[in-house]
Parts: sequence; C-alpha cells; structure tokens
Amino acid sequence: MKYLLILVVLLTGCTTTVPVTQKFPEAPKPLLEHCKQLKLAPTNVQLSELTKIVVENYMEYHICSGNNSAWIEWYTTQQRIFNKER
Amino acid sequence: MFILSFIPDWFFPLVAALAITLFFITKYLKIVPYSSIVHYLSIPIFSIALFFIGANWNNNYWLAKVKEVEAKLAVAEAESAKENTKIVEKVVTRRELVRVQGNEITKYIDREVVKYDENCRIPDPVVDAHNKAVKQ
Repeated sequence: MKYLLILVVLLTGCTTTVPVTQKFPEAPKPLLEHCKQLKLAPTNVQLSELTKIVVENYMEYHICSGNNSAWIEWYTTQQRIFNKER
Repeated sequence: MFILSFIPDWFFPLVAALAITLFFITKYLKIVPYSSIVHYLSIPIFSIALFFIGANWNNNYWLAKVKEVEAKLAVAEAESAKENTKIVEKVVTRRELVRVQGNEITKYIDREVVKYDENCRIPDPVVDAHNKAVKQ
C-alpha cells in the first residue's frame, strides 16, 4: 500500500495534457453540394427545346465552376490564416 | 505538473527560505532542539524546494504559452468564419447571376428560336451526340 501511494504521488508528475487543439476549419455549406447531373435531350426534340436544354446545362456548368473557384479561394484563405497563426 | 496546480506559487520559495534560515540558525545558534538533525534535514528540504520552484516556473511558462496559442487560435477561427461568410456571399451572388442570365436566354429562345421550330427538324444523331457528351 505504501509503495502504491509513493508510485501514485510520483506518477502525478508525469500527467501531461495537451490542452490546445486546433479544429479543422468548417467549409461553407453551399460548397459541400455536389454538381447537378446534366440534362439529356429526348428524341424528336424541337430546336427551341434542345437549345433550352443546352442553356440549362451551361448554367449548371457555370454554377459548378463557381463552386470550384470558391473551393480554391477557401483553401488559399484557410492556408494563409493557418500559416500566419503558427 | 498536475500536483503543482493545487499548490500556490509562493509555497516553495517560502519553504526554501525557511530551509536556508534553519540551516544558518542551527549552524551558528544552538537554540533549536535537535539542531544537528534539523541542520542536515534543511539541506534536502532546500534542494526539493528549489526543484519545485524550477518545476513551477516551467509549468507557469508553458501555461502562458498555451494561453498565447489559444488566443491566436481564437483570432484565426474568427478570421476564418469572416472569410467563409465572404465566400458564401460570392457563391450565392454568382449563382443568382447565372440563374438571371439563364432566364433571360430562355426568354430569348421563347421569343426568337421558336420561330425556327417548324422549319428546322433536329436529326437524331445531333441529339445522340449531345446525350453522349452529357453521359461522359
């Protein structure tokens, strides 16, 4: 019992905790959305309908491209903040 | 050190000072009972107190470092959140712009392209090529 107490007292000197933890930065919610599927054209489609489908697909591309650019900006910004605070 | 969190900073310097005082009192004045025992005991007591003064200083030094890092992290998290808001605003504005422009183009198609629907039949290979490109 005596030795156990001595051991416990000695080991209290070894308790080292790391109180500082850095959380991984949260990404903005809109960036976590996947790109939508592109639309297919049905057979016997009219010219105007086909053009509309093509336009909608281009719109999806532009939205997705915007997301990609935002991811690049997010990464660059977070990297700058992280490196500055080290 | 875990044990140091329960003991105030002034405790070990006080013990060290008492040990030195006892050392010299028992050396030159023989007024304390068991003065030789107290004299020799004051040496290890002083050594232990000195060790704990150092340990306490080291502990306080690292606690200050931890506080400094925590403050830096809080600043970084605030800056990160601010930048995230800016990025979200940019993304939302861009999406809105794309939708508005898309709607304008759709209106243009309904106004101008519809005129050619009757005369221009879309061959099936055109639709096939489009759909193949979509499926890639």
